[in-house]
Amino acid sequence: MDAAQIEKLVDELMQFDPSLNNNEADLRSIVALIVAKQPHIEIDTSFRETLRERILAVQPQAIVSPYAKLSWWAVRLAPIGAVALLILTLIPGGTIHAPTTTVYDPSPAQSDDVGITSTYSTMDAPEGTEGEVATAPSVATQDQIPSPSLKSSFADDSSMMRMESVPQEPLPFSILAQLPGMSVTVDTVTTVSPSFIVVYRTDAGGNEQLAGISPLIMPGTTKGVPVYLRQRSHIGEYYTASLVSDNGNRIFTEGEDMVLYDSYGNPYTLGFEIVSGYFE
Amino acid sequence: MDTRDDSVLVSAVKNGAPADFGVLYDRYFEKIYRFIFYKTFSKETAEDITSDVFHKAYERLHSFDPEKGTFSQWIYRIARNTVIDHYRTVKKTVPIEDAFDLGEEDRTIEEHDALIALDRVREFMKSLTPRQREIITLRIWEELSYKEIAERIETTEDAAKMAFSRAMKELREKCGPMALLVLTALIFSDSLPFRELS
Repeated sequence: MDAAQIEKLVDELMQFDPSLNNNEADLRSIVALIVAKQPHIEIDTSFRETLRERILAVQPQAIVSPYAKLSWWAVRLAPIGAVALLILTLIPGGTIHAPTTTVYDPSPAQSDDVGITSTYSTMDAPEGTEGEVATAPSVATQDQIPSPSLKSSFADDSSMMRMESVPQEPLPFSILAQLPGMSVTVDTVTTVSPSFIVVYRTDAGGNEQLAGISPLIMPGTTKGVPVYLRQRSHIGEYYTASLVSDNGNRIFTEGEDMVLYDSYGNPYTLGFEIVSGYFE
Repeated sequence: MDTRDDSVLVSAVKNGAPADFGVLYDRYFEKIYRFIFYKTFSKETAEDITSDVFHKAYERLHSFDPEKGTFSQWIYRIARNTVIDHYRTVKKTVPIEDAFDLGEEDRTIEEHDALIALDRVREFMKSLTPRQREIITLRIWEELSYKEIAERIETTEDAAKMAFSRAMKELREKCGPMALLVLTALIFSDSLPFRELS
């Protein structure tokens, strides 16, 4: 703002409020001082470009939401349907069983009894990898888990205690404690289908919020995968990273791209903390 | 340069062309960043909040209703609320109306020095309401027209003019003649571009 613009602004002020006519010099001083003390803003262009890429790498929920085109009555009746389903589930001898009962079953044999092959889908795996799915846990996908954010509801399940004794397979990715910043780095990821690493921030109340998504990871072993965070991480914060299978559109969509599970039903999820320095 | 109207771009994104959000991003990034910086005076905090604002805008675009206001109004509202939420989360014990007095420990030395220089103005500006401060920074620092200010703070153009003149009047009354004498001396001592005013 130059001197002429300041004069114009002062004139405007006196026009808006004629009682200011006697204070022209004071107003000019105030405006000039505020102008003079304007902080210099230098925008980091790499931040600008990186943020742009990160945002556009994610499909907005509404575009792909399966509920987006439901009529209003369907949306309103959904809770009633859910209650009805719950009642049927609780009736002794009922024929409907919650699918989650098989999720954390400790016995692989029992899992086979309930038909684990029908529980786990290979729809996202590339053609010809079906055989690998049975033997390579890193691509087992569970249809019943629609979103990583629902993991917390399973954590509340009474079967959680049993889960501790469930056999586990080695995770196909590793991530160490991280330093504070705008990204975290996944050390190594091994996958047989295109996938993402999705990171959630866990707040003090135990709630998880989507914090960042990696670029699409192609089959094979990839080292040093960056996950850019929406907000800077701080020391002491706790995060979880999950391996999520791409549904084929190469864009992560919460609720559509599924968390991967091993053949025992354990989600490929790993917690990590933000620390002030790496341990020797 | 894409000259399509904001509302056209929003519709395009909603109808399955997410890349068009990039045009809106390019159009608003700097404006939103500056808007947030003037409320936080910290580069790091401004980057964090700007990142959050655009993620929210992208994710919640389906909830934007063009009949209730413009995209510009909508994204500035998100920015304003995100600044408040940010400080509410970080500083739970501090009553917050805006972040004008907060974020000291996040600043670099240069930012801190700039802030000390700004303190003389802030002394007086602190006594204004957050809305008055916002109008002053939008008009004097951002050099927005009253019409643009009205859109951002969701009021009428006339109300924006009146609010600005009232804020300046209050500032003048609070400064007092002696303070103004000092302030004027400061202008001409450490801000060369304004010597021409004398």
